[in-house]
Amino acid sequence: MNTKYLIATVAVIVLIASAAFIYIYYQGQTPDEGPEALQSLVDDHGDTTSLTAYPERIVSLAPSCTEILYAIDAGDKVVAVTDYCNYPYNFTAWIAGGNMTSIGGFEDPNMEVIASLNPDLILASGGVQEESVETLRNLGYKVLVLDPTNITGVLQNIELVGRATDKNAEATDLMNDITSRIDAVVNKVADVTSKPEVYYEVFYDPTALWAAGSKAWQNELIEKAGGINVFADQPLDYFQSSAEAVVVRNPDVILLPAGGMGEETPFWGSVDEVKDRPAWGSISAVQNDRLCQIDSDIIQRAGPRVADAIEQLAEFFHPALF
Amino acid sequence: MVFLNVDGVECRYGSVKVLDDVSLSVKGGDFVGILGPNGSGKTTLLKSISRSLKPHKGTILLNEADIYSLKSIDVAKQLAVVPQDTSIGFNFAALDIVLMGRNPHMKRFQMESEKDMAVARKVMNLTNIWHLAERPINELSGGEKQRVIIARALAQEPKILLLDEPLTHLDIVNQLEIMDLVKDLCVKEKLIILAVFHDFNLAARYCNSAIMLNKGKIFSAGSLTDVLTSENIKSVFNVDAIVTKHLVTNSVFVIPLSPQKPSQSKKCSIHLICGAGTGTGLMKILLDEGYSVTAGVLNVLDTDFETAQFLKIPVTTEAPFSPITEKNHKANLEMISEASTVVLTSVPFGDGNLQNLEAAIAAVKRGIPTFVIEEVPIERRDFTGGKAKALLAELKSKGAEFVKDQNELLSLLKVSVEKLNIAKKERDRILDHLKPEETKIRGKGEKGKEEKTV
Amino acid sequence: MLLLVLALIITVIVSLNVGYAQIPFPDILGIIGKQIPFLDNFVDSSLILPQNEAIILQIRLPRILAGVLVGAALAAAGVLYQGVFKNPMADSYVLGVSAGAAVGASLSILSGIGFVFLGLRLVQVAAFIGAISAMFLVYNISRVGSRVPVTTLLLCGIAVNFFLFAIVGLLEVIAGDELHSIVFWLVGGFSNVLWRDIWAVLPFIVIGIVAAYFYVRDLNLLAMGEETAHHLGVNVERSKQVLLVLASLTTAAAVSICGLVGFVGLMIPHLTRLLIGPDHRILLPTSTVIGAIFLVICDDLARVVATPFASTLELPVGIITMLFGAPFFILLFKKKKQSYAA
Repeated sequence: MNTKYLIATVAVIVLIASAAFIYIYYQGQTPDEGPEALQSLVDDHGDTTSLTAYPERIVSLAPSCTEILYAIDAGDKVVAVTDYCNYPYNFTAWIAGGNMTSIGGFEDPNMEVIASLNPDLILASGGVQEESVETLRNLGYKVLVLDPTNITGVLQNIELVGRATDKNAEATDLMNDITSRIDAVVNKVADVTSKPEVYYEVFYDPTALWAAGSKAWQNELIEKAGGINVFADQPLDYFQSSAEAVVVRNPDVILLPAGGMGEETPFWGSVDEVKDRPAWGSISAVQNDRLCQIDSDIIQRAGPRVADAIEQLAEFFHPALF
Repeated sequence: MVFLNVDGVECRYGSVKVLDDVSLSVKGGDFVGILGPNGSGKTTLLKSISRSLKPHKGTILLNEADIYSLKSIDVAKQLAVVPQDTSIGFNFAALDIVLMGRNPHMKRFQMESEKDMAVARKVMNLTNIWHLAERPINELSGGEKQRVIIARALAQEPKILLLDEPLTHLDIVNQLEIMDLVKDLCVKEKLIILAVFHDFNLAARYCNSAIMLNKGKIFSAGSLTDVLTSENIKSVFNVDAIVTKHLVTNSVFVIPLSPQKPSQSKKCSIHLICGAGTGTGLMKILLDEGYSVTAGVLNVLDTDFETAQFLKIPVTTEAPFSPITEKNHKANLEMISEASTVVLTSVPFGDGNLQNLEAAIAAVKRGIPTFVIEEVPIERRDFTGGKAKALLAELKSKGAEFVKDQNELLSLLKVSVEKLNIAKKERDRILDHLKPEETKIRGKGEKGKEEKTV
Repeated sequence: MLLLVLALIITVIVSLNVGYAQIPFPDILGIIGKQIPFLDNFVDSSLILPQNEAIILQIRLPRILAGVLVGAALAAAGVLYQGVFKNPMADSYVLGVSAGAAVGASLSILSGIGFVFLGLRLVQVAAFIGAISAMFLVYNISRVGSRVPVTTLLLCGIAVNFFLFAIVGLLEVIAGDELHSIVFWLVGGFSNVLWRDIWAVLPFIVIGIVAAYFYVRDLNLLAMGEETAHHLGVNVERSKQVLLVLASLTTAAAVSICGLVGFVGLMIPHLTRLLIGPDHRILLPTSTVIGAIFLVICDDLARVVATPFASTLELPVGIITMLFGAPFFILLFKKKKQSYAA
C-alpha cells in the first residue's frame, strides 16, 4: 500500500515538473539573435513579440493595418489582406486576378489560408479579432495587435510597424506628415469662437438610432477639426440614443458616413430622407442644409488617413477657413 | 323519427382492419348496447359514426344523408358524443362547459341566448349538477366531471346519443340515475342511444337491443336477449357465464364464472345429493377440482338442476312438485353405484325428497364413502316431522362422515380419494394374481373402476 | 375591461411625458389638444415651441402608438397560437413566423435596394412576406391529408424556425457593411417609426384582432380537444386555418415595423390567463389591451432606465420586455399557483 502511494506521488510530481519545464522552456525560449530593433515589439494590448528577422511575408487582418503597411512602403511584403481592404489599391481586383490572397472577412479570418501562406508577421486589430489573435499565437505565429484609441495611438502603430519592417524612415516621414497636417488644422481653428455642434450618425433605421459618445473614435477627430461632438458629454463609445436627443441638442452639422465597403445605399438612404425624418426639420443642420457626407472608410478606420478625415471635417465645419 | 344506417363499414388504422363489414340499422327509441372484448372495435364503431374516423369502405346514413357529407354543425345538432376520456385541460366553469353544447345551435356572431341558458339549466338539473355551475371543472370529482360532459351532450338536444363507457367514474347511485335519465329520454323523445358497455348487467337492464362485436366483426346483433346468451359470451369472451332473467327487474342478468382452472382430472366421480340451491356452488367447485360430478334426484325447477344443466352434469330428474318415484329412485341408486363418493348437502327435506336420504343410506351400506355437509342443523330443515332427522342419525351411525362446511369436505375428500386410489391399486394388484372368474364376482361398481392404474 | 382601456389611455398619455426632451406636461396636452377638432379652440399655442410640437407629434406619439399596436398584435397572436396549439409554449417563433420575417428582412437589407412600396420600405414588406410564407411552408409540410395534427405542426414549426434562423446567420456572415443593419433589425425596436408605417400596419392588426374575435367560441371549444370540438359542430381544420392565418398576419404586421420583439406573444396571454381564466371571449380582448400597456411601459422604461448613467442612452426595448417581464410573470405565477394544465 505504502509503496504504491509513493510511486503515485512520484509520478505526479514528475508529470507536473515536466509540464512546467516544457512550459517555461517554450515561453522563455530566446530565438537566435536578430536585429535588436526586432526584440520586444510591444503592441497595443501590451503583448511583446520578437522577430528573428525582418518579415518577408506579412498578412494583414484589417484594412487599417493594410493601409499602414502600404503607406510606409512595406506593401511588397504583403501576401494576404482581407476582403474589405480597398486602399490604396483595388485589392478585390488583385485577389480576383490571383495576384493577392484573401484571408476572408473581419471576424473570422481563415486560419488554413493563413497557415498555407506561412507568414512571418501578422497584423491584426482588436475587438472581435482577439480570439483569432490568440489562436494564431498558439499556432506559433507572430502577431502584432494594432488597437489604437486615439490619434497618438495611430502614430505609435505606424512607428511600431515601421520598426518591425525596417521602414523606420518611411514611418517617421508618414508620422510627421500626419502630425503636421493635423496641427495645421488645429491651429487654424484654434481661434474660432463659434465651433459647430456636430452629430455623427453611427446608425439609423426605424428600430433604433446609434450615436457616438466621448469614447468613440470619431469624437477626437471632430474635436481636432474644430467641431464639438453633440454627444461629447456621454461617457460612452457607440450607443443607442433617441431622435429626440438629436433634435433637442440641435446640431449645426450632421455627418453621414457613406460609400464604405462596397455599400450601394447607405443606411440613411438619401440626404432628403434624412431631412424628412420626423421632427428633424427643426434641426439647425437641416435648415441650413449642412448635411455632410464623408467617406466612411476614412472616418471609421484608425489608420494613416486620419489626417485626410480631419481635413475633410475641417472643410465641413469651417468652410470659410478651408 | 330519426334513422341511422350503418352499411358495410370497414375502418382501418393504417393497414390494420379494426372494423370489418359492420352493418346496423337503428331508429329513434332504440337503446343499443355495444358489447365486446377489449379491442373488438366498439370505440371505433362509435368513432366512425361520430365522424372521427372515416371508414375505408361502407356508408353511414343519418336520415338518408351520408353523414360524412354533412357539415359538422348540422351533424352536431343531431348527434352528441360522450367520450371515454373526460379530462379537460383548461379550467372552465361547469356551466361554461355545458353551454358549449349549445354551439351547434348558435351562429358565429351570436352570444348565448335565454333559450340556450334555459336548456343548459334544464340538462344540468336532470344530471344533478346545477349546484356546481360556477365551479371550475378541475375542482370537481370524476363523477361530477362525467355528469358535466353528459349534460353538455344533452345540451345539444341531440336525436342520437353516443356513449362510450359513460359510467366508469360514477358511483352506483349516479350510474343508475344517469342511465334512468338516458333511458327516459330515449323512450320519451325517441332518441337513438348507442352505448358501449363493459357491464353486461347494466346493458341488459337498459338496452332493448344489442350488438356484440368480436375482432372487428359483428358476432351477434338483435334484441338484447338474443345477443346476450351464455353461448355468445363463451364464444366471444371465452368466459363461462350463467345468463338468466332476474325476476325483480325483469331483465336478463349475467353471472360470469371464473375461467376454468386447468386442474388435473382426479378421475374420481362424486355423486351429489342436493337441491334448493345447496349444491350449486359445490358443483362448480368440485368440477374445478377435477372431479367428475353427477347429481340426483333433482326436480326440474330446482336451481341446482339449472346449474347442473349448465355445467353439463348428468342428473337424475323428477317432475316438479312430485315426490320421487320409484323409477327415479332406482336410477339415482344406479348413478350412485357408478360414483366413488357421495356427498349430501344441507338440503331441506320434505316428504317429496325424503327418498334421497334413503339413497344416501344405501350408499353407505354399500361401502361407498359418504359425506354429509351439515351447514344448517337438521332441525331447521326437517319438514317431515322428524323422519329426516331419524334417517340422518341412521346415516351417521352407519359410517357417513359429517362435515361442517365445504372446505372441510374438500380436504377430507382429498384424503378419501387418495385412500381410494391406494386401495384400488392394491386391489388391482391382487386381482392380477387371481383367476379371471373370480373378478366377475366383484360388484359392478368396482368394474367401473377397473381402468389402468398409472 | 373598460378599466383596462382607461388604463391604456392613461398609459399613453403618461408615456408622452417620457423622453429626453423636457417638455412641460401642459404643453403636451396642448399639443394633443390642438389636433382634436373641438378642443383646439381652448389651446393657446403661442407658448408652445414648434420643435416640441414636432417632437411630440412626430417622434413620441408614433413611437407610443407603435408600442400599442405591436403590443396588442403580439399578445393577440399569442392567444391565438396558444389556443390552437393548446400549448403554453406556442408563439410566433414556434410556427417559424418570426424566423420567416427575419429572413425576409435580412435578404432585403442585403440586397441594398431601397425602394418604397405603398409607403413601406422594402425591409418591412419583405419581413411581412417572409413571415406569411414561413407560415404557409410550415402548415403545408405538416399537413396529413386534409388535417394538420397539432404536434406535427409544432415540431415542423420549430424545425423550420431553426432552419430559417440558420439562414439568417448565413446571411449575416456574407453581409459586409449591411451586417449592422441586420443585427439591429433582429434586436428589435420602434424608436424611429413613421406615421406612414403606422397607417400601413394598422388595418392588418385591427382586422386581424377583430376577425379573431369572431372565432373565440371556436377557441374555447378547441381547448376542449379537437375531437370534442368536432363533435360540437366546429369545423376544426377550417377554424385552425383561419386562426393561424390571422395570428400570422397580425404578427407579420407587427414584426414588419419593429423587428423581433420577444416575450410579449409568449407571456402576456399567460399573464392574462392567470388573472382572468381561460375563457377566450374575455381572454382575447384583455390580453390585447394588457399587451399594449405592457409594451408601452417597457418602451418608456427603455427610454429612461439608462439615463442615470448617460443622459441620452436608451436600451433596446426587447431587453426591457425580458428583463422586467420575466420576473414579474414569475412572481404572479407563484402567487396564483393554480393547477395550470394545458
